[in-house]
Amino acid sequence: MVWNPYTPGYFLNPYDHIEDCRKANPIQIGAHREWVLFKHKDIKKILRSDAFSASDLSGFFASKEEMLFSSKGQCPFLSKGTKKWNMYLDGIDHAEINEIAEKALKKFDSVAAINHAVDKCLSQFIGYDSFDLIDIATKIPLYVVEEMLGITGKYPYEKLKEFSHLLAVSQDLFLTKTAYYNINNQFEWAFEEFSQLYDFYKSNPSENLVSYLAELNEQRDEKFTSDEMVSLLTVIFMAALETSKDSISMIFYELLKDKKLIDYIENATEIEINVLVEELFRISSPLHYTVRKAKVDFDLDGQIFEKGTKLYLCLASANRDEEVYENPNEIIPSRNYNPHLAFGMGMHSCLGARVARIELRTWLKPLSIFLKQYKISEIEPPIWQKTIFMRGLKSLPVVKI
Amino acid sequence: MTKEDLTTWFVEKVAEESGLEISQIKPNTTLSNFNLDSLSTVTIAYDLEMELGVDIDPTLFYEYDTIEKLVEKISTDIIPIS
Repeated sequence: MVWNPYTPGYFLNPYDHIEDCRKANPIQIGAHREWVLFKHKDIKKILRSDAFSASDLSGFFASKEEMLFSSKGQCPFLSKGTKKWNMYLDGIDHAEINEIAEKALKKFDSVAAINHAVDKCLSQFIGYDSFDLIDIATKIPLYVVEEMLGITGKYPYEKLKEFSHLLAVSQDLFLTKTAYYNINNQFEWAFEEFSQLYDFYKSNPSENLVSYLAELNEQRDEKFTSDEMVSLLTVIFMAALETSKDSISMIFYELLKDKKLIDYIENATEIEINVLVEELFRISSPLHYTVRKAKVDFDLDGQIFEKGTKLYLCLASANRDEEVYENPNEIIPSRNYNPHLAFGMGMHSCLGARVARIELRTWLKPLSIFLKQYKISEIEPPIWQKTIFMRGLKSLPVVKI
Repeated sequence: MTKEDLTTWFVEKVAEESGLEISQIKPNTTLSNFNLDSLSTVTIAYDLEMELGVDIDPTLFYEYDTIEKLVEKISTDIIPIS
């Protein structure tokens, strides 16, 4: 059983193929000729080990930009745009950018922003007989991000949706040159717009994340250049919008299939919601893979990975590993032992995990109550994105029952 | 489309992606000899998908590493052509 995301049906349901790989060949060289790991215990070990570094996305782009853009007359922005994407940094670079981002995120009142976003979004859909759930799943985190960055209403919805999506896609496997050109255009746009935004809030501070970041950078004697701060803003934007959008839509894809869960949520206490939230992160986490590179030769229970070896860690598999979870493919609302890896683990665990938890705990009940009267359309079935690293829905039409 | 057309299509694409002359691209030469970057093979796979209107797995290029082998595989298992 060789891992291959182009196995027929993978984009509709990757979990069967992943399960087959986990059971038959949990440490293997996939169809792309690199190592892929599937078991929770192995992935956990790699994520916690300091023998591995994150893969260097900005460095990867730097090595490809000449080939990609030399004949195009286009300025390359891919490497510069991803330079401060914290999940691809290590050592001091990682620590410094995380420190500033974490402080700014903590200072921002996420709870208030999320509550505003849920109210503002749901009020637009009252009385509809049918709609695409992706629009709710996009608008809630979008309104949060807009408030976070102080850009409420500044840019068209479709523009920001595309921007966030293409930034997320930039990390995926098997992208064509055309896809990279499109992503490059998005970064070019970000460098123009977010530079102005950063300068504006640096001179006119307000209660938003950009102002807090500018203030923190000033206190550090402008350690990060304006371009580096734009890079940080792009990753915050992408992570906050795209992962939340994918989580909301994938969670409701599951919940709308089993109305008992919606009833459970409606009557659940705060503690019960908090426990269920972890279960929903486990089952519907959009981040399916992450990559690590061995800094030294590494022995994983007898399997030697030489220095420089790249490992693809299948988080979606770890989260459904039968050695850890009973009935791993079922949503069990009261599952109390839940060491899921939806946010990774170790040094590179997700910086936005705290905000993501607050978000889901906040919107789960009101959104469930609102969506209780709808079901997934049978005439227009859901459309899944053709992406590997980040799974998500492109469209999820729902109709009134 | 015939196998011959598909071979010609591949030769032209590989020449375009590698910057080599069409006359330098031999269907039985291993693709890695043309200095094709992984982005180029994915791009060729995508263009082929558009050309044939069927899903093409970009990892085919790892297993079938010459134009000849690719044409054989595609014409046998993916889109029956003679």
